[in-house]
Amino acid sequence: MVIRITNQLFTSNLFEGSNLASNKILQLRDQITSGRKISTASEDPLSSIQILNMNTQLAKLGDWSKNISTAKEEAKMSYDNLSSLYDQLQAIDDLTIEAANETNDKSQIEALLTEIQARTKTIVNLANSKYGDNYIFAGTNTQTKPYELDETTMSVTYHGTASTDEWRRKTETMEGEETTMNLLGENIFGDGTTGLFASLTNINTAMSADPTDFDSIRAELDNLKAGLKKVSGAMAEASNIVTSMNLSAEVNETSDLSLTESRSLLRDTNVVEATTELIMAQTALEASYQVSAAMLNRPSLLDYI
Amino acid sequence: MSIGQIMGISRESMNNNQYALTVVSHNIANINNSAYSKQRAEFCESVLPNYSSMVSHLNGAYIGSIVSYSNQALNNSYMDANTDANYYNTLNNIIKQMEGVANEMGDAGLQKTISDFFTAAHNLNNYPTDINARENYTQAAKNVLSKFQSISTSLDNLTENLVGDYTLPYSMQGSQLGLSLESVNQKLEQVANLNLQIAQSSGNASGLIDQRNKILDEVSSFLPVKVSTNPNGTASVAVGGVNLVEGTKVIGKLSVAAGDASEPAKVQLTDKDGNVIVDNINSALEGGGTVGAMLKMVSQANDDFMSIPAMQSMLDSLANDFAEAVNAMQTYSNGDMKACCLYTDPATGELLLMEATEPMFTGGPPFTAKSLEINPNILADKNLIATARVDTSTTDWEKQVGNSDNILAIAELRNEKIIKSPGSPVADMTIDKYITNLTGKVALQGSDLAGKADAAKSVLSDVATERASAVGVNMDEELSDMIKYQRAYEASARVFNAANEILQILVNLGR
Repeated sequence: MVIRITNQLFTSNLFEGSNLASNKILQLRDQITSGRKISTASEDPLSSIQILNMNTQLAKLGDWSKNISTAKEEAKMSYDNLSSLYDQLQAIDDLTIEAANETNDKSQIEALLTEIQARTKTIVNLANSKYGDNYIFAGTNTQTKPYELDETTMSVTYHGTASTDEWRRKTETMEGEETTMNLLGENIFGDGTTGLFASLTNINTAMSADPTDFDSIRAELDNLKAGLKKVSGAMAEASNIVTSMNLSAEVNETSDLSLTESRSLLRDTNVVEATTELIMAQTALEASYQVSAAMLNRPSLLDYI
Repeated sequence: MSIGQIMGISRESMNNNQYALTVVSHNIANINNSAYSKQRAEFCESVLPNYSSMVSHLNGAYIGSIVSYSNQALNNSYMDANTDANYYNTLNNIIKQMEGVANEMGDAGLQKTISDFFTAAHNLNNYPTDINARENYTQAAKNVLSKFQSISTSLDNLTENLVGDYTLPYSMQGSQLGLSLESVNQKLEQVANLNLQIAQSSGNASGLIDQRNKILDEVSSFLPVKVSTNPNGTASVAVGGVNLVEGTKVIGKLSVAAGDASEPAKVQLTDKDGNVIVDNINSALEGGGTVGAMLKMVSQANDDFMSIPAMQSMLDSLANDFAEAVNAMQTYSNGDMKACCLYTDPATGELLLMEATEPMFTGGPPFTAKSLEINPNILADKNLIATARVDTSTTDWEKQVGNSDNILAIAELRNEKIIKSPGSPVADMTIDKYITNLTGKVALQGSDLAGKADAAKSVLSDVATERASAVGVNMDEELSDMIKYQRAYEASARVFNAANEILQILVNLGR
């Protein structure tokens, strides 16, 4: 069908093509300068929903990563302190074996006792270690020094959370998965009436007695061995936490990378692609201007009258 | 047939062609007038009612009429397309503003802010006695509230800009709706005046009709009007069966009046004395035009349409469920197992636990996005944040200040279905899912409206093209007409000269 080309029709349609090309150029320029393909969700609703879901997951991974790091650092510190404590305890064990020999005279016993007492104080200090502001072996009584030493009697009183109460400090390291960050002092060293510290107190009492109570000293040797075993067990537990956290961190990192890449594909501008499209759009714009100019200078009947 | 008759016919012919040239000149003068419809002089044969002779009834030609190319059917099509295009364009612009308010694709949307709140909760879980961690958590909560309030206020402002505040009726006149209706009223007055002039015109009223059509085009961008022409050339204007202009009379004025929460603005038809003729013609208007689009966007929808109140309602629902969930954790109590906060023993200076009784958020229930506030007691003393959850029947439970089970439970609310989806009686969505759902609904509707706006614009363009093609002025046509009438004038002049020479000969006969 042939339609009448009126002047109105001609001029209104003249720049339609160049308007389209200009709009495309503006859009591409915005994408390149912002680095984002999508600035509002309605531009691509389905991709936008995927992006929002990925944002949620990435935020969770970020939180879990921080929690993993916190749990790992505290476990590492627990391990290091327990390792030092183990060395001290091993030395006390050796000294106690030597002290159990009835050929020692009083002065020799006193010399051994002095060293055992010094090492016991070191062990108590290590049992009262802090991570940040928290006593790490106190359970959830993190602001209370768990072990109080009476230097006269060398007896130790426990002020941490009882093992029968909720002593665990937990953090989320994966969806729905909570990791216990701490080890309980009472489970490792006892509460002062039983366990390792009770044994050390008994050794002190036996060696301080006059005459020296060699039978009691010998009776504590098995308890010291049991204490060493508990400490090495706790070290293994701390080590397991570190290993487990390392594995979780690895899984998290892999998920994070994968999600970040997927999100970037949907959300971020491929600058090379966008620049190429921009050049093509500019070329199209120039072409439409040339055509428009040619049409404006088109011949009419006026030229021939 | 006399020589005088020949000269008369020739003279009349020259007049006619001169007149036709005037019409051509008028067309060319209006070639760039978008409202102008081309006119054409219609020549008719002039015949005397005398059949006694073969030629005596011949009387040349006359201009029967000046025909306008104006086409009411095309005008009506244009108005319909214009109404649709403006309707979808306005809806599209408003939904884009709603998206901009939420800005979920940016770096500071509601989802990000709530995510930061849970991050702060995790941090507090790791360091429950650290005052900085508590400060951080409180600040994150404040940011969430600020975001809720910001979005809600922006939506209210959008509504106010569009239709005003129905609780302050006088504010509505200055809104976009009020001003649009005022503009429509002025145009309808002009239409009525033009109708009067057209009715009184005894000659060519094409120019007046063109002016009226232009005004009606403008009115159609606001309202879905129906125009019917009357035998005397006047036009009646109606919308949804309600007459606005009947011939030369304006039936009434349109004005905006205060509605209620579900329909904040209603359009009334009043007479010139301000008496209400029709109280609410919203249903007639909600089909097209910018007015229809504004009314649709500010009214509570009965369907799935995401209007401003619908979005506001979803936001309020989210705020309420979020606040209730956090408060429930903050004041948790199940037998002896209780949520606990910190305090400093004044006698010993020791940091201890006590039962938490202060909620985290105030301003409800029910909470809304605007009413939500942080409990001022917690703002004053961050130790009141319940981080611990302990069995208060155990010995020395007050010392378990490192217990962070309660704040961990708050942090893990992110994974729990604590939000009710629209229409659901039970909580069935996580917070993130709900926000994604809300954003998705707005986005899908925006995308749909953008597509419809493009399609409507394309239809309008096609109809405009068709109309311009039918009624516009083509330079080549006018120039060829100009030549045609010029040659006809020259020929008529020649005939006149020939008749004059014949007359001269006759006059000089017998000298």
